[in-house]
Amino acid sequence: MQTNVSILTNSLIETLLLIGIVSFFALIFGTLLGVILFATQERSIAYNRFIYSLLNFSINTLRAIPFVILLIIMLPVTAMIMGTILGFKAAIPALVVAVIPFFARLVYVALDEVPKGVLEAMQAMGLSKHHMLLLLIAEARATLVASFTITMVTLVGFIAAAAVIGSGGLGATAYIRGFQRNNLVLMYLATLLMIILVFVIQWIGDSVVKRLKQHS
Amino acid sequence: MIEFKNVSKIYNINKSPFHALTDINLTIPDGAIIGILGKSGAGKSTLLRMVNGLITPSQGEILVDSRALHSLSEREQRFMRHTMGMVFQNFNLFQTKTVYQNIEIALKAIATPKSERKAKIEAVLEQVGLSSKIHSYPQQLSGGEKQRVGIARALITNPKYLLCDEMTSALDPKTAKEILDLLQIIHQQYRLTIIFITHQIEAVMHLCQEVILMEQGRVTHRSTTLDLFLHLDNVATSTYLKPIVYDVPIEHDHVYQLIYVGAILQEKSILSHMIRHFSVDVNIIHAKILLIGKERLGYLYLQILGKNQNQAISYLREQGIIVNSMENTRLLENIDYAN
Repeated sequence: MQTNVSILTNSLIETLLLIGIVSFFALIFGTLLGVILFATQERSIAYNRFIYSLLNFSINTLRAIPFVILLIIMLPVTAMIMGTILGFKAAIPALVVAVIPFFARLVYVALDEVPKGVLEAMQAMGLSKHHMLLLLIAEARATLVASFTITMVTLVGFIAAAAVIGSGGLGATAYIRGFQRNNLVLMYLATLLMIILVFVIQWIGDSVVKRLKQHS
Repeated sequence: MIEFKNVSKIYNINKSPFHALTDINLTIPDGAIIGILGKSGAGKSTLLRMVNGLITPSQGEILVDSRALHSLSEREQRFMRHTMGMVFQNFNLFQTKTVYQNIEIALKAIATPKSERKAKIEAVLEQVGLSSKIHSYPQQLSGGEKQRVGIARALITNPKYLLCDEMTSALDPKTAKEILDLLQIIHQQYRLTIIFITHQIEAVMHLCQEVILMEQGRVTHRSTTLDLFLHLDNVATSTYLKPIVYDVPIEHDHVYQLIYVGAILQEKSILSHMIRHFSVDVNIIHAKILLIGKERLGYLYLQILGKNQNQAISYLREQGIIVNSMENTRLLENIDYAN
């Protein structure tokens, strides 16, 4: 029988892996969708009413569904993609689908907050659309990092919720192997580890934001 | 040269149309410094943004150097914008970039090779007097310094046109004057065409050769700046002139408004000559001298008493002074004071 320590170590690694994989997708696709949403809105760089409406609707809908429900709805899809609905791999599809729109919306807000006058100045300078977007992202970088930090912290919470399908990671350990098997020490230790994890993520995020804001 | 032909702009706000601009017909010649004066909402910012295509007209067309803006492809339009610099009321600098990097972006837009950038940026900063702040961030600069960066950024591509959107409105009067002086020097050196939008008539007085007045989307007046101040009787112009010149009920009889250009009254002792020669008595009700560009313009409100008033006044007119009788009328009477 595994000791608490080895269980916790495995769970921690699983959680970190999940965070790593899912936040990678969130970063790439969330940024992409957030940028498109911003650029296609009215009076923006590349106004496109159709794309904007479609994207806006999709993002809002996905964000409206509580994560646990999303997880359950996606079970068939999960089975198809990952070949299983148990274990920590099975959590990935639902996590990715939940986190991308979440971050995308935050990216949109971060870009939208850049003063519109700066956008005008760029247009007046005759910059290409591509150059303008890169500059906007650079201007919004502190907010973008803060948004990504929020996303990661939220992700930890979602991962814990995925314990519902026996997904693995610290949340599952706390609930299934801790609470349900009456191993309360394990439950509290796993929870404590999650709290520490969130604190570390938040601290790293805050430090980066602080350093970025030093200049501007 | 910039031409506006029958330009109108209508916005649909909550299903009711808002006429931002109506029937604008204008030609702005090369090398001019033109001020466009008007209250908020008069349409001046909209007008300015049509010159570089940031706003497109609902009707009519705009030609820059005889090329119609609407006929340009997106790429051609970007190149057109490289011949124009724009400076803003709120500076619109990149907060996360240094002064050097802010200006560099303009050079990147016109694909200046990296090796040439440093020298050009240093040269333009020298010109606007900001060499010491080359690696500072906007947050570390004062308003006047930020505007200098804005100007440097606008000038570095050697534009033909400079579009100024309320560029001194956010600055204190002293700094504003310094910026306007800088603009004068730049104009003399490069012969740019400057279009200067403002609601502050002092800026127009200081900088602009010609002035256009706008009200509710229409052009209501156009003349040289000096002419604007010579004709106070015009209802369109008087709203601006009121705070500058004088407005109090004139309670005396036989008061005359004298408007004169240049140093007429300062050098030729016209008044004392008039008093002696026509045996009239004079009381000074109010006096003001304005500096319009480099020209001095004087307003003198004199009460002239005596039998030979009319001859005295003819004499003044012969000397080139504009004389209007006030006759107990309120100065600049036709204004709605509730506004």
